Amino acid sequence: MGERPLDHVLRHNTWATGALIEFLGGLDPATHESASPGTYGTIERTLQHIVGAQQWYTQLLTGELIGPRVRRHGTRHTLDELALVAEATGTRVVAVAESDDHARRIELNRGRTSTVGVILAQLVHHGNEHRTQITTILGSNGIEPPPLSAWAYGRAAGISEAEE
Amino acid sequence: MSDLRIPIAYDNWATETLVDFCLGLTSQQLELTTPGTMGTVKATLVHLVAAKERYGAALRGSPPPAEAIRETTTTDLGPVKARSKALSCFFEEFARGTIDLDATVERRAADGAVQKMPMWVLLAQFLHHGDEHRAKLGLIFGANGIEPPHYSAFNWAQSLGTLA
Repeated sequence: MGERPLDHVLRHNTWATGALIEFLGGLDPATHESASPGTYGTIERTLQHIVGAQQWYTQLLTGELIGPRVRRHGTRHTLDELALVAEATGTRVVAVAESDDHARRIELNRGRTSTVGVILAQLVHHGNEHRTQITTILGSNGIEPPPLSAWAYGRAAGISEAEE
Repeated sequence: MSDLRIPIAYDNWATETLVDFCLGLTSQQLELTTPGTMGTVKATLVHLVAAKERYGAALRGSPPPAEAIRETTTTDLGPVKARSKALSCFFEEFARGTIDLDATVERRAADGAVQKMPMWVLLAQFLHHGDEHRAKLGLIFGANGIEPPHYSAFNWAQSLGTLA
């Protein structure tokens, strides 16, 4: 495990997206087209958005595009492809969090700037927000969603027995 | 200073933003819900803050104060704003200090059961939990035609003037 507090938060984020992708892989692909009122769109589009956004945040932080560009309305990627990008970018941001200056300013777009720390906070928030939308879609369609909490992460990693 | 200072400051702001927004809703709107979420706006908001009370108590090593928000006893949303603010102050102070990630903390779950765990699990879960339940509130608003407040980390940074 990492030595800095944020490491664990970022590792949970990576694990949760991977666990969600794995769970979705076990469902009838028709389920991926499900949506619910108030959510972002279908499960498939939301997942592409989660991974694509993380890829963009990572590019902002490092200048590197890791994997094929993922866009919510662009080329439709397989779950395996999305899992690879999510894992690679997730690993990369842990390294960024460990070594970068969180106050370093980064140019976003249209002349706007932010900091490494804010982008990392947004990355964590964004993953949790949109995974929740997918689990809500699953629940509203009668499918018990997988546990994606940090409690579940600790159990999956064999390093904590805490439960919900 | 911990590198969790930024995500914790964001969590404080986002929860307080949602509390303020919910306190401006009508009693009928507070009873709205949507399939796949955990319940009504009111129940979700109380749970969001009550859980934060328990995370704070676990980090302090002492039970929540008498005035703490609780799912079992809080029926009036009036005190939620003040408690949310008080919790923000506690977590802000906590993040300023040195964090011993491997220190064992005891957490009392909603059902009263006591669990022991390393502090990093609790911190990762605390941040995940806030994101998840704020997302559920956003889902209920969206499903019921209520424009949710903007509460991403980028919105937070913008409110501080650090996202130009």
